Order: sequence, then structure tokens, then C-alpha cells
Amino acid sequence: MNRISFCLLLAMNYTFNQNAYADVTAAELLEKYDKIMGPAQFESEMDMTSNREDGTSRTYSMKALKSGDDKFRIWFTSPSAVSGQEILRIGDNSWLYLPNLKRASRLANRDSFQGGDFNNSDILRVNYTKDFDGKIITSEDPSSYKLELKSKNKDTSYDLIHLWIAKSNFMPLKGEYFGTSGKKLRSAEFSDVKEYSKSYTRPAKVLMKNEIVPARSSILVVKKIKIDITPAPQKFLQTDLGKG
Amino acid sequence: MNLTFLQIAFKNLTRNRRRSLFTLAAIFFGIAIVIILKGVADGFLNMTVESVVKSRIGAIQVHKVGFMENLAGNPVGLNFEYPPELEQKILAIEHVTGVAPRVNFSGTISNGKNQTIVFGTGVKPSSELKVCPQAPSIITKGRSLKDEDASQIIVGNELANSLDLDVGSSSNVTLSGASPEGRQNAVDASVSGTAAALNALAELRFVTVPLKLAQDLTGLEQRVTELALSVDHMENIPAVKAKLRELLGNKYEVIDWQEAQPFIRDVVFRQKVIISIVSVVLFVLVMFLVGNTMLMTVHERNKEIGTMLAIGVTQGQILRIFILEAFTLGLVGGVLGALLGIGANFIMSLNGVEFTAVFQKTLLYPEVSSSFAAGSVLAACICTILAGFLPALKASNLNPVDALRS
Repeated sequence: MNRISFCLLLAMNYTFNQNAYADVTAAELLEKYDKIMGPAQFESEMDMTSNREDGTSRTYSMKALKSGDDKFRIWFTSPSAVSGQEILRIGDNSWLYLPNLKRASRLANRDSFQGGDFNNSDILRVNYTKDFDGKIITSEDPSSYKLELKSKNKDTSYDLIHLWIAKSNFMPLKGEYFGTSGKKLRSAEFSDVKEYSKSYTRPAKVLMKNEIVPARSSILVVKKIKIDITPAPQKFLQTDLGKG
Repeated sequence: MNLTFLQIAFKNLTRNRRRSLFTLAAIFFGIAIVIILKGVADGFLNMTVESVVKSRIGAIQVHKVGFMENLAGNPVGLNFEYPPELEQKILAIEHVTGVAPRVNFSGTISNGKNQTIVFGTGVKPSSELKVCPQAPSIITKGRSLKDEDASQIIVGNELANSLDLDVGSSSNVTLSGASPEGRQNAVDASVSGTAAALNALAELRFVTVPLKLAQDLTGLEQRVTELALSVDHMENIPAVKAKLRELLGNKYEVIDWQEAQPFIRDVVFRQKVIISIVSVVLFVLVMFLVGNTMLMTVHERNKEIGTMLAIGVTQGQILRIFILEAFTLGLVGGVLGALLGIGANFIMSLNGVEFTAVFQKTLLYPEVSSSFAAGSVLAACICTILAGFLPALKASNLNPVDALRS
């Protein structure tokens, strides 16, 4: 009798544990991450501060507009050195518009975003579902899921990503980004979860640490963000660059 | 008959020995200087070309079309497959003595505290040694790469200074790069040596790494961005280029060292122009000097010319005597000058002249071709004949009566 109940308990325990993982799949977690970090469309105001190895730091302010999976636009507003610069992403192509030259030049995904530790695709191309295969692996921290994301194609700027997601609210906690060699290139911490609207909550702050040069890091702070918008299609035309 | 005239001409020259000697000395030194200058200059050019071609760029380079225009952009993007069969086919081309595969990439190097942009080259050390036998000579500190090295790298001296990278330092030296598609990557490395480059800026940016490491970093498995070739003799470069074009087709660009390193080509060109100008100036000076001497001789010998004309020597014969005099001066002065020039070059080339060249202190070996020496003597003769022609014409046109009276 005792033995039977023990076995039953064991079995139940096993099932529940299984359920704790089985109730959500890696694909679902990725989808949630994409929804939180890169909603289908949004309009936002952000600051990116990059701390350099020489001890200096610089803060760039920008407005961003996203439409669908593959369209993104950024207007830099300060400091004056970059004010008037714009970025437009359409699909796999991105351009940086320089007001002094009145011309747009191509940006590569791997290039760093305004000389900081985010690269362009970190900011402009948040769509892990499309770019990565995810699987849930054992997390060191029982309150979080740990995802291992393996790149699906050669175009992603990272080969492998480890992503920790809170079990309680599905908010991302931290990330680690690796090169093909297996070397850790960057690590991120997501913090300051903030409810921007009733339907939208996300970490307001992303700290991106440069693992190659540890004295370098960059912080992205989302000051305002609205997701219930309908972006005007003409904002995502190359001819609109420089028109504000 | 001609011999008699030559004898007369020679005798005439010995009549005023001092003047003839001064004229001879001018021709002699003029020719000697031209030949020594040419020897040193050619020696310098050879040294420069050899040190660049044989220590870094190779005689011929092969890339995907557009590579040279895209050097500042993303060289990794223009890569091509390099199977062993291709290597065999290239080595089978006549005059080719070696072929070295390379991967050119841009990236960053970091010491854990700082990072800076670098332009790296992945090389296969054993092949590299065949194509650029002097490559080890650019190493300033430490040692050059070996085939078995996996993570050893060579950095420019200036780069080593600016990032405090010391030979043997492995802690935290990281090379970062990206695949043509933009996949970021980084690998740990250790510094096996530091090396000199063409200039300080290049030294601040250059890194040489094992081929495999560059391929891993950039995701180019079995692919390369550049082939460097060596040939047995520099004059065979055009023939080898043509054969390569035939073999590879129009998707590849085949360039020689001059196109790969226009800076050196320009140095070579400039030097040739300078030598030519100096030579011409010296020859013109010699010409005026000889012309002056001959005019004086004619003036002095008016009576003698009158006598000769009076006893039946023809105008043509007079002309010939004076031209032969000028020619003798040119020939004797020229030959002696050439002997001095060749001798001086030979003595200097025995031990070489120490010289700070493009990369480092090296020995310069002056050398001058016998054809250039012969050409100089010929030029000296032609110059003196031209210079002597007018005075000789003047002498032959003298009226015997006037000449005898003067």
C-alpha cells in the first residue's frame, strides 16, 4: 500500500514536472520573446548609451518606427553630431542616411549600431522565430526557462544564442551570444520591466556587454513605446529619407 | 687611308695634351657618374622590388573580379574555392615556382581592454615561404608562422605597441571578424611575432594568421580570397599572367606586383625618369665641352688647314680628320669612364652597400648591364661626333688663302 502510494506520488511528481516544461514549447517562448522585444508594429523613443573602453560614454537619442516583420525606421535626434541621421531597413537591406551628404549608404547587419556594442541586426532585426531554431535546455535558475537558439541560416549575426526567460511573466532576463567558434561575443541583461500600456509590457532597459572587450557596454532604454499604431507606408521608402 | 686619318687625328690630340686631357677627363667622369648612378639606382630598384615582391605580395596575384576595387570594403565577400586540383594546375604552368593561398579579411583585434580595426591575412606558411622567400625577414621580434600553428598570429609593430601585445602574450588576445553574410565570430590568439610593414599606418592595421584560423573566423571553409604566385624570372610574368587568365577564365582578375602595389611601381617609374634626366644633362654638358675644345682646335690650326687644302687635301678629308678627333676623345673617354663605372659598381656590389629600404636595413647591390655601359660609350661617341661636327664643317669650309693669311 505504502509502496503503491509512493509510486503514485513519484509518477505524479514526474508528470507535473514534465508539465512544467511541456506547458510551453521553445517555439512558443520564441514567439513570446519576439512579441515582447519586437512587436509587429510600434513607435518608440529610445536612448542608447555606449560606454567605451577609454572610460567615455555617449548617449544617442532616437525615434523608431516599425512596420511588420521587415520594415524599420530610425531618426536620431541627439547629440547634434548625429541629429538628422536616419536608418531605414527594408527586408535584408539597411541604409544609413547622412544629412550632411544628403545620401544614404548601405549598412551591414554585423556593423555596430552607432559604434556601440549592439550590432545593427540586434536593433533592426528582432525576429528570432524566423532566424533561429530554439530548444529548451536545463536552466541553472529554476524560475526561468533557458533557450538554446541555433541559427537557421548564414545571415544571422550570431551562430548561437542562450536566452533566459522568466517563467512567471515570460519576460526575457538575460542572453548570451556566441560566434561560430563557440566564443561568447556579447551578453545581455534585460531589466526594468515596465507596463507601457494595458496590453504591452516589456523590459525598459537592455544592457549589452561586450565579452571581447569587457570595458565596453551599451545600454538601450525604451522611454516611450506605442504598439497600437498603423505606420504610414511611405515612411519606409528610400525616397522618404531626409524628409523627417 | 682611314687608318692614316685616325693616326693624324690621334697625333693632333697629343699636340695639346693638357687640353685633350681635360676634355677626356670630362667625358671620363661624365660616363663614370652615369654608370655608377645607374648601377646604384637599379640596385635600389631591385632591392625595393625584391623586398616587396619576395617578402609580401608575390609576383602575381589572383582574385575574384572586383577584389582590388573592394579592398577597403569587405574583401571576404569575394572568395573562391581552392581545391588541390587547382593548385596542381597552377603549379603546372611553366615558370610558376610557387602558389600561396590567402584569406584577406577585415575585423578587430582586442587585448581585453581595447580593440582596434585590423586588415588580416590568413596564410599557409610553407606555401608562403616558396612564394615570398624573404617573408621571414620582415619579422622584427619573435618568429614567423609555421604550418602547425593554429592560433599563433603575427601583428604589425605599431599594432603591438598600441595594444601592448608582446610576443608570447596569449592572455585575452582576441581576433574578431565576420562571414561574408555577416555572421560575427571571434577566436583567441597568441602573438608569435611582430613585423614591419610598408608604412606606420599599415603596421598599425596588419595581422597575419594561419589560413585555417582566417577561414574559421570568416566561415570560408576551403575557400580563399587571394592566390599569390612566384615565377622563376620577373620577365616571365606576362607569359604566366596570360596562361593563368586562360586557365581561370574571366571571373578572376590576374594582376602582377606592379598592379597590386602601385606605390612601388610609381617609385620605380619616378626613379627611372630621374636617372634619364641626369644622364641627358651630363651628356649635354659633355657635348658642349667637346664642341668648345674642337672650336678652339680649329681656330688654332687655321694655317695648317689652309696648307693642307693648298696641297690638295679635300674638304671631306678635313671634315673627317676633325670628326675623327672628336670621336677618339669620345671613345677613349667613354671606354675609360665605363671601366671606372663598372669597376666601382663591382667593388660596391662585392659586399653590398648598407641601406634602409622599404622594410628594414638591407644591403644594396649595385648592378649595371653591359649593354647599358656599351650604350653609354656609344652615346658618348655620338655626342662628341655631333659636338665636333660644326667645328669640323667650319674647318673644311675654310678658304685656303684666307686660312693661310690668318
